[in-house]
Amino acid sequence: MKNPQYLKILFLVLSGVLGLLAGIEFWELRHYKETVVVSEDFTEKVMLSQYLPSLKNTWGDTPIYVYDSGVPGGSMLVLGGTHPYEPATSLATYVMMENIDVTSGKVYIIPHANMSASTLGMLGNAYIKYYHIETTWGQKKFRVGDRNTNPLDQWPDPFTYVHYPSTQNLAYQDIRNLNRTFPGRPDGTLTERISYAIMELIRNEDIDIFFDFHEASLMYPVVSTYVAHDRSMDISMMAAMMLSATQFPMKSEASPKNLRGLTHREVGDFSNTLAILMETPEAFIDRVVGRMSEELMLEGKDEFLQTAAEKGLVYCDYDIYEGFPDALGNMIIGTPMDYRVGRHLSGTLEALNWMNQFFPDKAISVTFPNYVDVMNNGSGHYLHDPSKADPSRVFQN
Amino acid sequence: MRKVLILVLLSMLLFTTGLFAVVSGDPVVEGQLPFLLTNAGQGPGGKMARLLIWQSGAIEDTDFDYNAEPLKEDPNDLTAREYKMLFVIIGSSAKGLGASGITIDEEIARLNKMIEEAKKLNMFIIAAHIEGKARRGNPGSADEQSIDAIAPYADYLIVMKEGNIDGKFTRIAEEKDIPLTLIDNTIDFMQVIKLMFPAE
Ligand SMILES: [Zn+2]
Repeated sequence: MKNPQYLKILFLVLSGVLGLLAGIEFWELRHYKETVVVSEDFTEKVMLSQYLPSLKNTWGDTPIYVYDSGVPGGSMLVLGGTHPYEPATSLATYVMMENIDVTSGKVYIIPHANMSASTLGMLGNAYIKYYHIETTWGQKKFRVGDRNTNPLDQWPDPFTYVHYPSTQNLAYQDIRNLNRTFPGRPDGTLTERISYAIMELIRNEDIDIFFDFHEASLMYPVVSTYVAHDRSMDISMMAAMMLSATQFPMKSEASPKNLRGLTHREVGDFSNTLAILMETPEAFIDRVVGRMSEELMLEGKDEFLQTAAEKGLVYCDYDIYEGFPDALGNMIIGTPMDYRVGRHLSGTLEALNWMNQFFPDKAISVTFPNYVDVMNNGSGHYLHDPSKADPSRVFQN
Repeated sequence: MRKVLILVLLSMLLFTTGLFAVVSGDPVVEGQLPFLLTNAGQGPGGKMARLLIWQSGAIEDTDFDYNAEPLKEDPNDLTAREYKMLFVIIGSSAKGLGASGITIDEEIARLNKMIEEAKKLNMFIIAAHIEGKARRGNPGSADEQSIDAIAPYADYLIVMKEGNIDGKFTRIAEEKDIPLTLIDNTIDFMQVIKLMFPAE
């Protein structure tokens, strides 16, 4: 009689309060900014919308950090955060950006290739929003994003996603997956436009070598590997063999011709650049893992994945108890963040080294911390205190 | 960072000068030119080996030919030149088999034919397994079938240690009395090539 009425109002208020609390959390993640202190070789920051004006004032726009040595040489572009839920990719670009020294050639770094996707968590996955890295001056906090573009920025998804220009049919949600929308088009969806703008950057700036950083689940065959476009195969094969012998296990795969929309295929096909994608092992995104905590993100130790590894179901070395030795004698236990960041850093340096040998006219001379440095000192050691830095070198992403 | 750089440079120097014990087991056999380089199992190993041979600088690019699938279409592949050696890189890849659209049974049939023909032509057969455990599998797998089709018929074996963890290649070498040279890493294959073809 009067009780049901009373309960209805109570539940309405309750769901309103829960909605508000959740809304605050969503809002906070979407607007949280990461800080970076760029190295002294930094020359300018431009926005991606410079290459496609329709991205201006959208969540698809993202900063590009330029390090121009002023000395003739080749040019490279590095993408972190194509899939933001693979956060070692952005962290590796930050370690690069804060420490890079360019003596010849020009370097472009995009720490959040899909900015929109970095502003929410994986929906429905009880996901952590942030992870923290210890530095010498305190803790630094970073976003863990989604795989795909935020539905607030691109919605709804169609029943089938028809890739442009191949017309290959892909899974519907891949229409918001930046690594399925290349080479993109100027009047397409937000994600296609981000792809197109990156292609325009590569074509207009005549980028010689292109790196797209990723992380993969261990039960996916293409883990701990380079995936190289046809023209980059020799570079990636030599680099993989060299890294396996001197630093950490690395494989090399050829980009399949019939799988469309991926950077290692389309970026190479639709520009003159040498396109390379790199995958580290990230236990956090494996299907079988238990609680998806910050600890799992940073350490990668999971007993269910261990069982899978013991049954021969993973495609790289994995041991959460004793670890496995790298070529330098470090025991790698789980899939620690520093291991993954270090892999991307040395993976880039080694590929550059071979590009310089195979294509001397494109040679670039850069230094930044490598695998050995990050394994010895931790990634946090290479992140500088923004409060003590020259404000003109502090940026927000 | 500078210290690390020096260490890395130093280790690279040691690598290229061969002071590291990267090549072990039986002494490296003397190479003969020209030779035909190929794969068994449709893996990427042949292309890696070709790259390492180029990088070694030990022989001229024209001293060898690379053919991914001899005898697939042309029955004269092994007699196209007066090949002295058949250099087979063993390793299967599901992707390679998928891309070429053939089954492992068809691949094994071709390999049997290739070995038979090479024996008839008196070619010196080298079987190399240089990619470690990534190219080893369960009994009966494409990798193991490819090994069984080539290794026991070879005159010389080059194997990366990690791929011999179960002693399979040691067993084959002992049973068939084949010299077996071991390498620590894939990249050390380059060192074997330099030793096979020393500069005159
Ligand atoms: Zn990815």
